Amino acid sequence: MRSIPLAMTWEMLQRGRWYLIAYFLGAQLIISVVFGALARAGVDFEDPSMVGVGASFLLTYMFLFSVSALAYQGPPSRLYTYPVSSLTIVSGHLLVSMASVGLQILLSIFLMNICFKTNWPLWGPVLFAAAAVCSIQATTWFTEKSAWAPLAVVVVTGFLGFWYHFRCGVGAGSGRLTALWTSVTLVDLGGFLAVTAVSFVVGNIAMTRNRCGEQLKPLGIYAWICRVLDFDLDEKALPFRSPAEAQLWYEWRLKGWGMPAAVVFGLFIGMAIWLMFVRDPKLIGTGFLVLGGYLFVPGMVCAFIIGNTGRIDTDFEMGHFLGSRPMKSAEMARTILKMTAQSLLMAFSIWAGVFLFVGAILLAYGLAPTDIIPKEVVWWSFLAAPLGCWAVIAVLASIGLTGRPVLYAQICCAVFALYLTCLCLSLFVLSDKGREQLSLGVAYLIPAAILSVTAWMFIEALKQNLIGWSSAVACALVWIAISSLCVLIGMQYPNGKFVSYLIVVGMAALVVAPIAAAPLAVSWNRTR
Amino acid sequence: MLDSISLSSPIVEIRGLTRKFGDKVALNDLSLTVPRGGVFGLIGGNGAGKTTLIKHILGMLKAQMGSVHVFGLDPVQDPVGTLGRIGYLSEERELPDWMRLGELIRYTRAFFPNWDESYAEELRESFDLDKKARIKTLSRGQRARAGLLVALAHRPELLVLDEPSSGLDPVVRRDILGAIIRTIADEGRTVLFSSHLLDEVERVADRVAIIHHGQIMLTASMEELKEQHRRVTLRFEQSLASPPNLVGSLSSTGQGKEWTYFCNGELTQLRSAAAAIGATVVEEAPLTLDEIFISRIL
Repeated sequence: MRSIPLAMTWEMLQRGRWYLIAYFLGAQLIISVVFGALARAGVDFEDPSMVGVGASFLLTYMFLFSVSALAYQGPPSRLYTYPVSSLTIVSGHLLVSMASVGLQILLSIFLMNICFKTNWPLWGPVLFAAAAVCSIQATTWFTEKSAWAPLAVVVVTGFLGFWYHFRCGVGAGSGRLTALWTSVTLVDLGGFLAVTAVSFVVGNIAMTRNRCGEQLKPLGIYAWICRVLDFDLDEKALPFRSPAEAQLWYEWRLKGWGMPAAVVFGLFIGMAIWLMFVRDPKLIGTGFLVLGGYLFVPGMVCAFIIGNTGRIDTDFEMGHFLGSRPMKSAEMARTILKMTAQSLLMAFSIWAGVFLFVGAILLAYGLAPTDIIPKEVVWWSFLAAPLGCWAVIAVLASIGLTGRPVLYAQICCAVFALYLTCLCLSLFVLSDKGREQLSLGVAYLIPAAILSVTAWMFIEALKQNLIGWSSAVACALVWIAISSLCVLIGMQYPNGKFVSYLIVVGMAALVVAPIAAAPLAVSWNRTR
Repeated sequence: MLDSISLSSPIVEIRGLTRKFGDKVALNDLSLTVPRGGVFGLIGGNGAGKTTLIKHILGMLKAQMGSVHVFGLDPVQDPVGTLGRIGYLSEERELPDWMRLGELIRYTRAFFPNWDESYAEELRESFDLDKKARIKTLSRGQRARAGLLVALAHRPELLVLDEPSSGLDPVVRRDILGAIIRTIADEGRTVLFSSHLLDEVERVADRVAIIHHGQIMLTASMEELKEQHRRVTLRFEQSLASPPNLVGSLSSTGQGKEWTYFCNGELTQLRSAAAAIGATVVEEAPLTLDEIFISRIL
């Protein structure tokens, strides 16, 4: 190598080559399948109605390629002892990120334009993506090891998102995307250059500081809250009455805040979007319902946190500290499930409390109850949302509790591969009748598989004395009650089919499955 | 707690333990008995199987073949019965970073009915640890002390220390050795510790086991070990290119007429063996644990 910057670049590309290839091919695969399906359905990609779809998929490309760039470069701390200036390290990283993301976007758009005649513009998205990845990377360095890091990344990403949104929307005030970033104006160019320059400056400041082992100075907000609330657990708190109570405290302090925080964050974002783009009081209620219905999405992220009993974020294997607690694995699993339920309960309580408060204000403002909760919203959806959310979080957390991330990845990949296979088969291979038969087969197979696996887990947990017969019987009764309720509700609808009932009964099993799955997983993780 | 098991019964009993990780054999038909009371040193090179063995004792690994009993119980089947009587400090000194020391003490005491609050406070003061300090802000040495505090404060019947001194300064190492001595001062209590620092083991251990390639090569009391291993320097009448075979010899170095042997055996036997090969003993001395270990595993 002729120079250190060249050696750095070579090392980065060498370690990241598989990331780059995998992310590029993965992104092409996902988006090609979707666009293939749309093309087969006769969609015209040059139709103005497809602008929003195009802009969203371009954003998906940018997100995936930016994640790959941040992942393959790794922490710059490994280069701190090299005889190079901080600016060289910053430039080495940022330029490589910008080049790799820009090139990947360029190639992707080129391929899409050739294969699907999407007629997407090249330079706007490419230059925007390069500037965006640069600013996000500088932000992560600037807030390294700081509690502000997630918020800072969200704020910068939000700013970039709004920029992209306004630039893609001629009628931006309406919230609809009406045009792609077809021409790069001088103002755009100035914006890209400004963002890139600021990122280089911020990155350099951050790298110089991080290199000395220093970090962003805390604002002292947490210390201030502790002082104001006299939040000193060491001195005031009473001893725990039992190991289970101590473990529940541990789990709650470590992971329990996730779901309530997600709700609060969702409420703030929702309120901001409403204030900026909507401002129609009649849509506030719908916004709340959408938030409540989609709480399982942040729940999936929380499940990763809840299911991790490892020492670090990337290692799910139970560490020595937890593993050497004089406590039965089943009891440990019970505390984790209890914490999950409490976290979920608190999240939905916050959501319901704020909804009721805002609803009361809207009623006082003169809105009719049907303006707040539309007539189409059925009463049982208020039960289904928390139960579904519980099932998603508890099942995913139970998989995580096995402490085998490879298993997690295998299950996710297998589900995704099956989904893609079915999608491709039904879109490109099967006739209408074959497609119908495939759908029916899948509809029978999924609940059958869920019920079989759940039954096996309960038998195994009983065999290993991880749960008692009383718990198993209680779970069976809960499952029967939920299934019966679902069937009764389903019977009110005239077009109800047997397979629909079967799916509902299968899904109801997921509500109780974690009661057996979590102890089995913890036991398997703890003793290898 | 000692009433259920006879005082004379071993505290740890391992029979024919085999453990594989993929193709790699970590423990190979290993048998070991740790008697009740005293300090038991487990020594071995990197990758010898020390931590794997300790993980079996703690019930974090299930025996693929053979059996592990601690206090006469299976640690996998009965974690409460075994871990509740063990104090453990891992090599990584793994503690939750987000906790304050006071929170760690409050949390840990809930698991141990025998927790001695005044002893915990005494240890905290002697280790100069601040209750309000977050674990993540502690230095490596302070972290080791915090780990020791929560491992000792319930006065465990068995204290398990996995490489407790690695990477620590002499002051913290002194604290750890002090903790070991304090623990055995309580009658009937046992310390099992693994270490690379053989001078430390030599100072405090009553019994030692050498583990190599997943097998126990030697178990003996320190006294037996010292008596049975000696360094003898032999003088031959003529210069020799290579040393002649000496009965009981583990290894040898030297040149010409003088050769030094690291031997296993009684001194009188070694003298007779030397005479048999036409040599006279010009010097003899007991081996250090370091020399014994190296001569055994090389």
